[in-house]
Formats: sequence, C-alpha cells, structure tokens
Amino acid sequence: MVHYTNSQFQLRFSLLMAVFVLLLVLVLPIATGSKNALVKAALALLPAVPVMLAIILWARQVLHLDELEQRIHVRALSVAAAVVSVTSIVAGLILVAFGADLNGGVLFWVFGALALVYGFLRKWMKWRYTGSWD
Amino acid sequence: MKNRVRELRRKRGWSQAELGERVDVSRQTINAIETGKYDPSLPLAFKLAQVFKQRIESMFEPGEGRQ
Repeated sequence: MVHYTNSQFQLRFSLLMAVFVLLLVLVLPIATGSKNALVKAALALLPAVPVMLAIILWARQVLHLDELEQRIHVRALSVAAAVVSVTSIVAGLILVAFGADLNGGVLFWVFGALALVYGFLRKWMKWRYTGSWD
Repeated sequence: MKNRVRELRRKRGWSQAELGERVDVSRQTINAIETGKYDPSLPLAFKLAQVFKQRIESMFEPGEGRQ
C-alpha cells in the first residue's frame, strides 16, 4: 500500500477537495436541469466521488502512521466532528427560528467544514505534542 | 511518566530519527516521548526497552506527564 509524506498527502487531499468544489459548481446545475432521472442522479452523485476518494486516501494514510500520529488524527477528528455538529445544530436552529428558506444544498459544506476544522486541529495538536508543524 | 529514553539514546550516540527507525515510529514521536509530552503504549515501551537492552521498569517511572 502506498504511503505518502505529510505534504504529499495534504496536496492530494487538497486536490480532491478542489475537484469536489469544482464538480459542485459545474455539474450540479446541469443535474438540476436534467429531465432524465438516471442522468440527474448520476450527475448529482458525481461530486461524491472525490469525497469518497479523499476518505479512502485519509484512511490509508492514517493506517500507516505510528501510535502518536494516529492519536493526533483521531483526537483532531473527534473534536472537529463535535465542533461541526454543534455549529450545524446551532446554525440550523437559528435559521429555522428566523424563517430562513434553505435547501439541502447547505449540507454539501458539512464535509468541507469538517475537513477544514480537522486539518487545523491536527496541525495544532501535532505542534503541541512534537513542536513541529509538519 | 518520567523516562530515560533521551539519556540511553545519547549514550549510544543515536539520533532521534535512528531510534525512531529501530522501533518503527517517527522522529517526532521519539521527541514527544523524550520531552514527556507523550507516554508510549505498552508495546512501544517494550520495544524501546528491548532496543536499549533494559528492563522496562528501569526506563519508565510514574510521574507527571502530558497526554
């Protein structure tokens, strides 16, 4: 199994996230306008592909790390999940209370927010444990 | 937990990276263990004891540590 250095991993992860955002912006409007249900579903699910690839990449990367690095990843992911969950609940309640008209599209950003918060926390925790940012 | 990893490593003239390679962890993990910021798991503590040919209890003793 291939194991990347931290910077190689971050580059690949960021590229997959960029493809995800690009597909959201480019493909989703086409899916919305499509009349054929099969084409609509296929196009709508296309942005999920880079997300799944990113998750596989992350899991393979973490499996190759030593115990401290795995601990840092798991802790960062746990805190990020808690932060994003609480934020989405609070934001959802506030928006409902103020009668905001939202569609399911806002859910796209949950994974992005999770990845962003997790990435920041991982860097910070690594620095706290090892004094190194990389 | 207090440990003698840095002292034993320096006695042998090994770098943190060299010791890391011997016990299959990163240089940063060795640094975190030496500075007391991370207490190794039991299997890793045994690996370290084996590499230094020491008894585990002579390398690690209870004390303040950050986890």
